[in-house]
Amino acid sequence: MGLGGFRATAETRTYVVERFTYAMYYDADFQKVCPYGWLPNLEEAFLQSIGPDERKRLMQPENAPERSKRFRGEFTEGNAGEDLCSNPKSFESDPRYPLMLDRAVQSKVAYGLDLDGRTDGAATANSCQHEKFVSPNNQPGIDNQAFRALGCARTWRGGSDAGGDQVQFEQAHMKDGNYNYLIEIRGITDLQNDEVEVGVYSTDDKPHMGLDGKFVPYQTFSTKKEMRFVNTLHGRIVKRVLTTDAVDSLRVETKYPVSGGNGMGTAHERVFRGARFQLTLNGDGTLKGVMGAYEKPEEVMFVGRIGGKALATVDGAVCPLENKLLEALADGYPDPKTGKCTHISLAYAVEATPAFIVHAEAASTDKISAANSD
Amino acid sequence: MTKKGEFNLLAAAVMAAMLAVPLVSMADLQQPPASDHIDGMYRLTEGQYRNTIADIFGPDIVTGGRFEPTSRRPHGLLAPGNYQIAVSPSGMEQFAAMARKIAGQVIDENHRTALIGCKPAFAGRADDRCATRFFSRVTPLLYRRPLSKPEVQQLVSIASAASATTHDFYAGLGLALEAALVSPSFLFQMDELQALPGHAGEWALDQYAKASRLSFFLWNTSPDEELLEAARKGKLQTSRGLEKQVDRMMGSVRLKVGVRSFFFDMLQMDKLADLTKDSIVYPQFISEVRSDMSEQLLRTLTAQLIEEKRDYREIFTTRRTYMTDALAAIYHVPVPVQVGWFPYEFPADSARAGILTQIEFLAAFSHNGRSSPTIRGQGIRELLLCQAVPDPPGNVDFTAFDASHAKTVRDRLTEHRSNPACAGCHKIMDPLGLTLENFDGIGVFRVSENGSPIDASASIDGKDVKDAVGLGKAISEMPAATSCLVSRLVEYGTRRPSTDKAWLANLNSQFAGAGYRLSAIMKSIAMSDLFYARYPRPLQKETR
Amino acid sequence: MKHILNRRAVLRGAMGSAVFAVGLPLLDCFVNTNGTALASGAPLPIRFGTWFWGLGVTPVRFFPTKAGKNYELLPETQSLAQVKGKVSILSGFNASLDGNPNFPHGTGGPTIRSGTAPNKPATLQGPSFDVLIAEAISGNSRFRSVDLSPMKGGASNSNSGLGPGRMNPSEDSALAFYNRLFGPEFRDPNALNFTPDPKVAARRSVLSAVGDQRKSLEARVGAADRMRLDEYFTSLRQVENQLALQLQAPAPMPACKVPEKVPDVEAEVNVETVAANHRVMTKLLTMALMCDQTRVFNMNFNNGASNLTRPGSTITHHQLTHEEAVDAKLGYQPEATKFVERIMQEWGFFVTAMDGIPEGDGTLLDHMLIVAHSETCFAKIHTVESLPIMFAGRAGGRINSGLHVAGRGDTVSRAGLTAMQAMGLSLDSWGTGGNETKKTLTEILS
Repeated sequence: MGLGGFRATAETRTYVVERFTYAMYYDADFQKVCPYGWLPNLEEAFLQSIGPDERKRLMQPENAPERSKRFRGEFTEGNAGEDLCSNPKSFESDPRYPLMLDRAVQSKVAYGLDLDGRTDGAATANSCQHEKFVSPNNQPGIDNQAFRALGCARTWRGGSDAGGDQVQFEQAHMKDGNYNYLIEIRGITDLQNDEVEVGVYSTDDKPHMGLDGKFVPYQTFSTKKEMRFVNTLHGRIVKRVLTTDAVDSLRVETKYPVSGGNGMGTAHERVFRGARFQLTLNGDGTLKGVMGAYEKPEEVMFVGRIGGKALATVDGAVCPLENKLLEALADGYPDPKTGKCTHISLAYAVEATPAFIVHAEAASTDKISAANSD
Repeated sequence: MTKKGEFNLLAAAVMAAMLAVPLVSMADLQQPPASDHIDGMYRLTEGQYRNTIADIFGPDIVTGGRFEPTSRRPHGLLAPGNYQIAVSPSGMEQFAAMARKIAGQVIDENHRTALIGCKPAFAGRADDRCATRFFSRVTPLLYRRPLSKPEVQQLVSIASAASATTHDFYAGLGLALEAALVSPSFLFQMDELQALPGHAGEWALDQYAKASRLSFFLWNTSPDEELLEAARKGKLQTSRGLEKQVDRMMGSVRLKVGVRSFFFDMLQMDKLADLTKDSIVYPQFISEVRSDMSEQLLRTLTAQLIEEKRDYREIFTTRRTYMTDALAAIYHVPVPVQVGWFPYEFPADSARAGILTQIEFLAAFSHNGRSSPTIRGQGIRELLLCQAVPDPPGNVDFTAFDASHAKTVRDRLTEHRSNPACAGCHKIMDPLGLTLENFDGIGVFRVSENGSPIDASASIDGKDVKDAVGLGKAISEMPAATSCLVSRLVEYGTRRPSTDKAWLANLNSQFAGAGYRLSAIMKSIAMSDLFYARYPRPLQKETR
Repeated sequence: MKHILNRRAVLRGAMGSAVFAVGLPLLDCFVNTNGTALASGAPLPIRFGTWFWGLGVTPVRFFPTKAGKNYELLPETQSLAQVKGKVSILSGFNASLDGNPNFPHGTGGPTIRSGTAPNKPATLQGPSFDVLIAEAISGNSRFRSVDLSPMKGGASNSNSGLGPGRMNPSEDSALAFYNRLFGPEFRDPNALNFTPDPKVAARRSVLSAVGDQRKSLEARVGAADRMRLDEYFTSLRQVENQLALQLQAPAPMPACKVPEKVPDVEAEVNVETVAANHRVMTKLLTMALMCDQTRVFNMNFNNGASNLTRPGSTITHHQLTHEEAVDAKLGYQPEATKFVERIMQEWGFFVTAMDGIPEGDGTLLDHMLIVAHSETCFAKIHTVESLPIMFAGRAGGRINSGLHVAGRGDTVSRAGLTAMQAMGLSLDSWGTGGNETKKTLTEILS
């Protein structure tokens, strides 16, 4: 066993992803990030959507029940009774939910990767003109328009890099074993400089949780049978940092428990376009870094879409406001006819722990990958 | 109740001859106890109690209850301690509650037809005929001997009075069954004596006590009907009759239950209930691992020694075991499926071979937050080689040590072994444990500790050993490993350590002659006269 | 003072289903000189209850940092100042999901109560431990248990039941509770015709018959075994005596007084109205216990996803836990914690009320065990790790109190198993899957 040096035979390292959440860079200086304030919550958005006299009347303490009834009731429904979080697109032309570009993030730093290969933000064949971020460690050209759109929304910003409720919900469901992703790095001979192949898979197997609340390492997970969840990327390791090329579509399966339902909840496929990873192979066998990719704006809010308006009435998230910003700031995959971008750039924080992978197509344990630390 | 002298063997033999064989008739003999002296009282263990109830009433009868632990380990094993414990008030409350729970199930509507075996003329009234049938059949199995007529009659009267009070035949029967279940005749196995024919003034265990001793040894449960019947007919007095029963019992699936119970005692697995591990150092030591690791050890042992009838010495070297997904994560091995137990074989180049490299042993014989070669070494010496390690001196001056610079346990222990006051014992224990240093305090494999590579080599009783695999091989070659098993089996079966050197030597050579097969040595022991010997002390006939 | 009826006389009476007419005056001398038992010889009844609240705690403002005695009171536990010595706090006990989802607000409660993670939200997979305890200790009490919730919509606000779909509904009206207890059906414990349970009488005679074997056995054993037999028969006699006490007229309850009728107030979701209703219910409950109408209760202060509000505010407690950001400087949610503090004030009131009623050599609280718990730890993200649990009371000296017990990731089932064993259930292990345990809380149940 070497200490991170050259290996005579190629090695495969396998992991289960323990954290996969929007990478929300937290700058404690709220004024710097959101100088024009928060994206309104449900009650604020409602009050903003009505005339000043009506607003004044409803703000009287004796009218609180009426106010509450209205912003939780009529305000959360479209013309045909649509749910504002399940169907945010139905509210695109609804004047009650204006585009509030001033409530997008105004600061310069965000997590993420350079997805279109330009640092100046000019349009390319695959991207529309947009503003770039720099990464916390000063990498220029970072694409993360989803952060720009949502970083001033209460349920996304939160109080730390862990993000707000919408971000943490996603993490909690992964931790509870609703769904998991697996990463396999094949063909490692030299952690300092090497060409490798990377597999990304989804699994239905549940992890055992350790007494520290983390996944117990070296558990075995089997991949899902469907070949569409087998994603292969090409990458290069330089000084223990793996950077992959972009893959056109990275397909994973997410599950979300539905209150009142049973079993493990609703399966939901997510497709990340132009996805790339930048991951550090740590000496203790873990993996940490980011995934940068493009996704359709309404998919960014999949937690809200599945959860429905409880996200608005309980958490205060105003999904159509968020969706409008996401649509407006979309920067990837322009429509050939209109030239309007159909996808938005984003970044996911990735943390993975050593695990064994059994490939579903293999009948026996022959194809089990070995999980190694240094 | 029976008075002494009321009964003699001849009368019993005549009565037995007169009666047909049907098992139900056994108690109809109304045979009084054989002797007037009880040589020892052995309180049933939790396992024996549960097994007995399940055997008599079926495995779906829930026992529940909290047993007072046998905390005394007078020598190597817990078993002899049961000759010394009684029942405390809170223990009695538990026995009474369990009796209630069991009896309640026996008479409930789901079970009464099958378990009572007869129907009362009127469900709302006593029925002595049906009660007599029930107690004549069931109580001998509970008391492990036939009952005297007054004994059966007493239970029937209790049932009768209680049925009248409750206006319910079944409730009354259940209450009388409760009486049997809290009776000392059930909770204690009595070593009753009988005069040794042809040896005036000499006494031996009576045939039913013999049957119990044999049954608890091989099955860890009370004798079944067939064994009691053999005892009644005096068959256990002849070696042919005895052998027939021993062979029958060794061919039963219950042998596994008995062997598991023996190793549970020998390997002190009762202590696992109190095992704690630091959750910050070992967050992966989750409850599934705790429960699965003891099961893994017992499965390995029964598969090797009973199912495959392998040489006992191979338990220290075998690569074969059983695995669950929770255990596999600790062993850092992949599993094919995430369900239940499956056989697993460590590869030939694995650092693991034999039970000493299983996490049960490695975790049980470690500190809360780190491994301990000393504790592991002591465990091997005392539990598996029956070698006594003296207690540490009371006046150890720990200020004399400065091991703060030590990175590995070996470095720390080198300090111990260089101190003459400690060296004597540490030299006995540490080398064995040092070969297991590639496994941390819960048995996870490692090659370094605090950044320093681990050296797992040691010299064990003059032999150089490289690592844990070498340790297993060295242990398997030690005569003490097999003789220790023999003496523990004898201690377990007779519930006292034997000091009879000739007998033990004879057993050891029989064990060797049989290729160290466990079933062979268990049979040799079960066939020995000495196995059924009474305490080597005179009868204490006090006058009061 | 102590008087045990002649065993055979009781049996004769019981066997013949005789009715013992007992009409006794209310006098202090009913309690024996050291106050541990009533003068009839019957020990004071030990009661059991649960107190549930929704939406958990703010961990840094609730859990003490050091384990053991004399734990420190943090902002959310200040209300326990008066009774700290009789309340233990459990931290670090987790609900194991065993492959089931963590249903928001629907997993922690049922796991604590039934020892099994639910596969459907808020669904007990088996009987809750309070039901098992009620089966064991309720004896001849009028109500096997009473289930209460001072909050509107109380009927469904329950954590108690036999299994899936078999929940015990809670009563949310104090007046209805009053009528149920003290209406025409009320059985005054101090003026009652007493019928001993014939089954208990029969069981006792059964044990005494076992005792009859003593002489014949003792004659046949050696000196050491004779001592062991002595111990056995002494223990047997003690169990027999416990049964004998059950055959006597029920303990007179000198402190039992029928309280005044309570006004009819509609249940609400406003936390102040709920608290006021809780206080009325608490007082009625103390009298229900002192009159031995029930020995088991479940008080559900608010529901899991609590829609408690504060006067003048449209936002509910539940919404706050999600919407409100964790204040970066303070390290907690400043508004949500106020709800927790308010709820904990009511828990403090409840325990203090039980401790304010003298009984025997101590207080009512000393003769009961209350297990309080929530359904989540940190409600913002619905954690079921370190579920907040408290043990209040001394259960007649059966348990140690005033401790902070650190679970270090062990299962929450240890709490239920401990409660059941403390209440005398015959049970060696409890729970399923990762929640199965054989370990009680050894610090508490010594």
